[in-house]
Amino acid sequence: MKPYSTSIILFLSVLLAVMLQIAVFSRLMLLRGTADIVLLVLVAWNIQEDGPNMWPWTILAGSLTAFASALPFYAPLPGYLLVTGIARLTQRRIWQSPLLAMLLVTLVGTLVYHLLSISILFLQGGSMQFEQAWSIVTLPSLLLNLLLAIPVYAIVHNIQDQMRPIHQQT
Amino acid sequence: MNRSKSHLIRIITISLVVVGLLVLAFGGFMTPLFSAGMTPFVSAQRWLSTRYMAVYDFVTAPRDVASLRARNIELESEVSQLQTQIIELQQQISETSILYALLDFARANPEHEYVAASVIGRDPSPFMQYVLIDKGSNDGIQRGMPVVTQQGLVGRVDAVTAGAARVMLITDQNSTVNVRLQTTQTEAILHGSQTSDLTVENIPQDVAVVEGDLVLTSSLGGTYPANIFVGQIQVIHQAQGQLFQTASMQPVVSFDALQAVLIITNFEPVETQLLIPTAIP
Repeated sequence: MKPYSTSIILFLSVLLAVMLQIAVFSRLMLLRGTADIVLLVLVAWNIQEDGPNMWPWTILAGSLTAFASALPFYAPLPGYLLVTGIARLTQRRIWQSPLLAMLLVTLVGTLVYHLLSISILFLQGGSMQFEQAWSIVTLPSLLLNLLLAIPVYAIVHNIQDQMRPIHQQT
Repeated sequence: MNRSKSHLIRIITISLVVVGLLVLAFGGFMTPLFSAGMTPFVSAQRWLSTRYMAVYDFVTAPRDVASLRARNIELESEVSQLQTQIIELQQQISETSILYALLDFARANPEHEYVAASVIGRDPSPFMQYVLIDKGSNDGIQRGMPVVTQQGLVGRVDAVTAGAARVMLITDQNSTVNVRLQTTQTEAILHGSQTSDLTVENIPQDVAVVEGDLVLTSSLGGTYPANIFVGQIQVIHQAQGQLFQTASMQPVVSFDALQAVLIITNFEPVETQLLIPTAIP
């Protein structure tokens, strides 16, 4: 597939993920936690074998999320960049087991992203209580993310397979 | 002569018999006789017709099955179209009922000017209690404008773009609303929280707060117009040695099912930040 086609698919997948996050997944709450489909899509693309360079798309996803969210803009963007960094590191080390990598990065990435958000809100002087945020927001969000991690990985892997030239497809 | 006379008598006799039979028939006296005579014919006709139709069906069945299948597909398609229409209409009815309710609210409160907007999403971060609406500065929406539904207070506009806006709900942890308890006319402050629980604070200890007390906005602070319904007192927390008592409040608006809201456009919030003294350099 030509590079610009890959870019279009990545752009659309990031855009669709952000739109789905705002319109659908933010409303599906478990206690006060919600799944983060943007994070899952970024992780799934990052851990693909011979996957595309996701740094620019991470910046796009972070910027779009920061634009829509009331969180300070310096929370979502660095958060997603950290998640992409963790995913790239993990992909190089456990590339033989992508599903395990997906679950592991989802687990660590969600915790890192939430910890960053909580810290920034706390430093801003909000009435954030760490224990409450952990038990009512972070843990339910983590559970939802882990539940959705495998389906998201399967979809992204399928798209990645379609994007490869025919002679490279397995 | 005798021959013609007997011929005449025969005609008269036959005529009388025929007339008699007709009179008996019109009088209904012949019905049992006709019934008894017709029944075997009817039975035979039915038997014959049934056998004929069986043979006809057998001969023409393949053609009919094909046409019936085609018709069935056609009808199934029509049914699915109608079901789609029903769903669309039900959705329209639901939206219309919401808009009617909002319109009723706007009519009942004519002192304000309203712009109706649909809720198109929630904040992507689970830590923030905000919703996104489909009206922005092009529709006259400005930062700080109060947002309500027909039930009561929702929050206020936090950020605006040309075609959309972000609304901070009163359940957000950074939300503060000056309220008044209706029965005692006591001023208090309503705070949101991380868990979306609402707490009414700064109620003096000597005020007798009762569960079920209505909570309305007060015009203190200039952030919201007065007398918008906010919720009801649920549980009162009174501790000895404290200056104030607090109470949990049940909001009147269901924030998880928000579909449409009204923005009060003729209310200008007071910018209180300007009144807070800052250190002179």
